[in-house]
Amino acid sequence: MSTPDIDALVNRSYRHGFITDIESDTVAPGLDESVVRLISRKKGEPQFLLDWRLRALRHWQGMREPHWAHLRYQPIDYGAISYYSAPKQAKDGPKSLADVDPKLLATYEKLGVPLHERARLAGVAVDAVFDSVSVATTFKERLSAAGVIFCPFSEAVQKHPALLERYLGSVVPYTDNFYATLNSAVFTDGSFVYVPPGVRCPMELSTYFRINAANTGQFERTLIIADKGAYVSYLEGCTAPMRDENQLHAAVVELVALDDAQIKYSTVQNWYPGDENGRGGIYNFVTKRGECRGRNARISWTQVETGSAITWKYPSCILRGENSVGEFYSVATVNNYQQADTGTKMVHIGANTRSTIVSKGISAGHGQNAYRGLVKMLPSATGARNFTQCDSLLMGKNSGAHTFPYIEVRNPTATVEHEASTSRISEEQLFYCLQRGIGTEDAVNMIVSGFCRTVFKELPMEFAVEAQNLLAVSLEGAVG
Amino acid sequence: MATPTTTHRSGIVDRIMRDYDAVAARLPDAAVTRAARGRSMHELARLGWPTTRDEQWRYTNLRAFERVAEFAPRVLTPASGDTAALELPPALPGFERLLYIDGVRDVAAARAPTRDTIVPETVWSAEQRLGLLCDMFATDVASLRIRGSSAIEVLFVTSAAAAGAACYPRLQLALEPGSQLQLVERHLGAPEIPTLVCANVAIELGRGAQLTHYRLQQCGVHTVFADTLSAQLTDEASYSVRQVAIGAASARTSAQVQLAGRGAAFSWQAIAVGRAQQVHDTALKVEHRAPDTRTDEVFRGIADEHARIAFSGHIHIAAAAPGADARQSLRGLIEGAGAEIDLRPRLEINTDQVKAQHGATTGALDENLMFYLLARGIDRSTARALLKWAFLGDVLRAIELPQLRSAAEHGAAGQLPDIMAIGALT
Amino acid sequence: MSTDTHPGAGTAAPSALLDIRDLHVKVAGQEVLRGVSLAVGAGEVHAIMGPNGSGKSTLAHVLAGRPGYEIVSGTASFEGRDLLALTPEQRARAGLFLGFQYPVEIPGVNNAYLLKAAVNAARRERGVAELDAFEFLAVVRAKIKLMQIDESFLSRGVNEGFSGGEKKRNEILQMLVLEPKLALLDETDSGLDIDALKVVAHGINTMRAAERAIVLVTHYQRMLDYVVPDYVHVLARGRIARSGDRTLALELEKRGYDWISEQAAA
Repeated sequence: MSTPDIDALVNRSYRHGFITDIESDTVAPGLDESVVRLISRKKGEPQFLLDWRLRALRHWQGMREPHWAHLRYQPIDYGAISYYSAPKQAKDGPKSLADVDPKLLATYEKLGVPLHERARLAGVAVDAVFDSVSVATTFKERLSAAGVIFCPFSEAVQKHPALLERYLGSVVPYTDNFYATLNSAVFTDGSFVYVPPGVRCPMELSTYFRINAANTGQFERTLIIADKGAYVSYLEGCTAPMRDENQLHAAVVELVALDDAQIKYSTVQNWYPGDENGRGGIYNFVTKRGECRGRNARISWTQVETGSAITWKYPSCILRGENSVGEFYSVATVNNYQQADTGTKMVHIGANTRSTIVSKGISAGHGQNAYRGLVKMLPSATGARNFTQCDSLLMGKNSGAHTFPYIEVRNPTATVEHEASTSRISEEQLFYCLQRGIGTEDAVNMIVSGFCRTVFKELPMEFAVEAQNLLAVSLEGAVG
Repeated sequence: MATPTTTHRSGIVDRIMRDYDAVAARLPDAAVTRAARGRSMHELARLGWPTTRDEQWRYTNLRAFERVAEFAPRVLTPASGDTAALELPPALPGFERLLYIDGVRDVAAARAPTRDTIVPETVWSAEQRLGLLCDMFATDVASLRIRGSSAIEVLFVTSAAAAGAACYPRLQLALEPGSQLQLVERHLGAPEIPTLVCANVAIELGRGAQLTHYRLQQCGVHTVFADTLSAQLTDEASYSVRQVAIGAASARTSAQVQLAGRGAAFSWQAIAVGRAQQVHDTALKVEHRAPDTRTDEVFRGIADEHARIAFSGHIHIAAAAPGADARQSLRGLIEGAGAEIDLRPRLEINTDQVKAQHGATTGALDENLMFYLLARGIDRSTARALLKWAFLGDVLRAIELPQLRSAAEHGAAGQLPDIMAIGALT
Repeated sequence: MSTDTHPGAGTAAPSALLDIRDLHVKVAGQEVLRGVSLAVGAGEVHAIMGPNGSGKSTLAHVLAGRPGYEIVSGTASFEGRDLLALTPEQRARAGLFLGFQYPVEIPGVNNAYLLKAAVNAARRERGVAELDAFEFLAVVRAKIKLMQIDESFLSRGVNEGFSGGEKKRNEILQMLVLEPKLALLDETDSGLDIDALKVVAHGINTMRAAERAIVLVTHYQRMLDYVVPDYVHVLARGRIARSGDRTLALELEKRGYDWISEQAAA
């Protein structure tokens, strides 16, 4: 047991009690100052971070859960959630693949997930994750040779507090919104990336991350800084469905791009969506925002959202630096009773800033898919441009596709173009494929992939293929 | 917040209540019954006054409404008939004219509208809650049942007598099955008179009925204007709106159209031109509730100087409306450095058997077109004016009555001095 | 009419590739085919002609298994198998190809991808090894040249933004690549200028083979100048009103369809 744990036991001022037997390491449900202090202490955080968390907590206590999104769900009881849980012991999970839900295994099979990965993803107690340790070490050496810092957030707190103090909350302030504020108070871990001036990160940060992804819990915090002239491509998530006990997820991702820097952030989100009848599934309320703080900076968000029962997510760009560029490419799929309310905000502040939004929404079954996007041109955004393409594909008479764009322009030289279309897989298209001997399911996959093509080509190569497979699996049984 | 747990009665609602209590006993039952007025008052109290945090009121100049000195109408009895001082527009050939001055019918007008058809009380939604004001304070009503084919012009004029108070124009229409109506609804006011004009329009279209509804809002520059419109369409009915909004300091249009019968068709073509500190805000909601219904929306807005033009077009297609076809084209042009355009094309689609698309653009004039004109030797300022005129052209040309189109064109051009200068008008 | 007025009808030699007997089909409650019988043997080229609304396209669609048609009675067999019991994709994989009159657009799905998927679906069915990307390209390249199509065409979306002529060439290209046993070409000549018509006809002619049958569904006889049929049938009011050799087509060109329609009505 580490020192902070002992402190926690000795200091019994907090109300909910802290269970520190060997079996579990979880605080009792509920949130107050003592819980925040406990988390901070367990992480051995400096004072500034604790103070920041506490300010966030106080702010959150005065906030109300927002309900403007096109979503329906049972109220979340924030008092019933346990806000700290140490990483699960391996032995808590299934003992072997034989104990894992066969449906989950069938999905892995379809996705072509390697055998040893399946065990890890399903949370099977394995002694070591095969080669990953040595692979990770190799990656680490290459990164540090380039001067790139890439580590768990809690490690950055210890090793790079100055960077953290400077950038944390500078894009998503702790007051930002209900979920981001909650995250600011109680986040437990996440990733930290710093790419120094002029450095092109020597590899996709995906590879390392995917092998080494730790269970970072439901309140994840990620901060990525690309210094002047730096480049980094980061990939979050995994095509294989992750098993997770926590229903509520409220992550925060902050990106900072300085002069001439570029950040490419790709996400594949495939959390448990609930069953065919809409029971269970993850509620995913995420705040993602990047700021092009310098001239000619560029931030691209690419996302493929197929999982979760509820997705509430608007990866956004603040285009402050002159000539900076923001991009958002999204595929969001809902099937059965899934609901997604996702989109982006492009806030143009600097002159000649440009943004592109391509959103592809696919609704099948009783799925409800909403695109919500804000394009804002401030008076200073001379010559700024936005182009938005927002397409919906409907499959089934009970599915829903909704578009809620907000266009606010306050500069006479700025231009915004928004187009939206709605289509469905027509019987003619389907019959055409059938007549060529291609079966219904393959035909649907083919048509859907075609529909999403402009987004898939923004993904790193090998990932685009996986994403396509994933889409096929998540739309199984949607037609015919 | 979607679920307000407590009733929010802000200061302005209290003021409205006081003004209502002071005048209620003298308001005519014939326009709206006392009981219905009371229900509207309670509904307003329940909903509370909107704030810009409400999605549908985000771009409205609510402060202009909050600064209205007096919500009670001052003129309660029919006007004298002395209309000479009002400088009314020339009559439209073939149109019957109904004249309302400060919200009350001019007794000298040709015909008293029929009273047999007070349209049932409209239940206004939260985004149409300004309609409740007119229900509370209305002093008269133009209530018409249309059979066969008719052409009617309804003029709502604000006179100096209404200065500092409020007027509540009110129009209720029922079109019998198969009937046809060309309707001109025009709001005019003397330039320097500060008033609140708060109009309600309720329309029911019977099976196969056709209505073309021209709406010109040319209130005085100190007027705070609101109009709330509700239309219900049954099978095969067709409703076309041509709206030109150029007057008033602040204007808010809240319209809801329900396509409740198979094959019902709705078309909305509107322009708004604002300058100085004008704020024009439109919230149009169309609900497709029946199969094979159609919507076609076109909006063109120009914001000059410090004006703000906002348009929210919300199209909702229910699962019960397969075969629905909806399209929206929204475009804004910013002329002034301090001006603002806000566009919200919204689609909510709940079945896959639909065609729906929208396009929205804002920005400067098309550089290719500009270059084409410059290459023909036209100077830049003339070219700009021509292109602006062309920008509004589609909607203006959709006004099929020559005299009315001319009035609309002059009104719009009056907001854009450079168009006057090039003599684009004939 | 009786079924013995056209060659092959009712005789149903065991070698008949396609054998349709007294087929009655309804569309939206209306009987559109009212007793069609037709036998098509391997190696033969048949033309089915007829005025608009005579049921030509319906016949092609029913054979390919398009949904929305109600088979009232009658049979259709393909190589002795009950064609009407198969799903559309099973028919395709068995070697039945429909060249569409109005080929659909499938945005974002490129031609090469669709074709490769189709070829391999058929190969899997036959138990033959699937083609990899290189083998496939080699096959397609030769055919593309034959149809005078630019190779960039392969990476374009299926029929996306194609002209009418390009769509029809694409249909024939698909036929060439898929090498069906029976090709039903529905109004493949419509909307083609004379140069494109020659290219398309040439493509079709290269497919003529002893083991393969081609059925041309067409309104005009001009296609038949380039693809000379062995048999010509006239469909009128949902029945085959007359059958003959290619001189029948020439007669139709001179006299129009009315006289046959009148006969059929009588």
